Amino acid sequence: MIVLGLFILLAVVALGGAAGILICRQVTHCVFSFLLCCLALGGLYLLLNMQVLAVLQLATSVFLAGTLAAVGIPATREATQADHRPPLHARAERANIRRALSWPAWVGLLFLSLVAWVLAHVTTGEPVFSSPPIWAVPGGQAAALGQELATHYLIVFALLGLLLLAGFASIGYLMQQGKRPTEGGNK
Amino acid sequence: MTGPAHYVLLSGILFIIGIVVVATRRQPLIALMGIELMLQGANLALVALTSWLQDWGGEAAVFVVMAIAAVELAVGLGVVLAYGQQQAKR
Repeated sequence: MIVLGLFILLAVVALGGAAGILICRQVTHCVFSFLLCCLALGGLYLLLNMQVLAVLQLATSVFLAGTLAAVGIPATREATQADHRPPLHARAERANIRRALSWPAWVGLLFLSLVAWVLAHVTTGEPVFSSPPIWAVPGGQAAALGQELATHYLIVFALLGLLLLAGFASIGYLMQQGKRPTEGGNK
Repeated sequence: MTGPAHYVLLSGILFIIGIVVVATRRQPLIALMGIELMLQGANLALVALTSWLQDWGGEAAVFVVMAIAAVELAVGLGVVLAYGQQQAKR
């Protein structure tokens, strides 16, 4: 029953996050909604007894949302507001940030309190669920994944490494292209 | 009780929302998030079926999709950044 309740809660949070990306107008709101959706999906992986993937999902979602927020938002601001507006007063800027963070902060707080509740149960040793004990990492899951990657999927794994390398190289190339002066631009 | 059908249904809804985001939103960052959402939806279905069938190959596939999603987002952000820099110069 608790598992069903948690599934419904996490599914609602995931769908709400996805709908938030669709509905919200500000990019900051969209990034928070995306983070919420990814974290809820991590929780669903945990419910499915896939602890290794859940940890990977949580780590990558924080990485993706952080990258989007830190790199993407200033870049789009530069591109879209190429800028004839007067700079905002510091207080107005702070008020804007506060307004932007209002509802995602509350939803995030709710989600974090749920995680804290589960962690408190885990650390005190109280059983959250009767069976199966989903928070206990079964030995051998990571080993099984590693064995799959190193045997059946070895070529795919090697190609993935090459893809990551090509991705990094292309980012470097794109950055150099962006720094190059444009024709008819500022002299 | 929850079964794999619930998860697959949820993943389908996420995938459709991702398609709608890519089709309707014009900002490149939000379109990137839509693509990520589609990949997350596909991943959820893979994880649910892997858990149901107890086949570790699906877990490896999810791992590969996660890495590809990270690369895609990094390259997409590189494109957005380069475009932003070009726009700022003009």
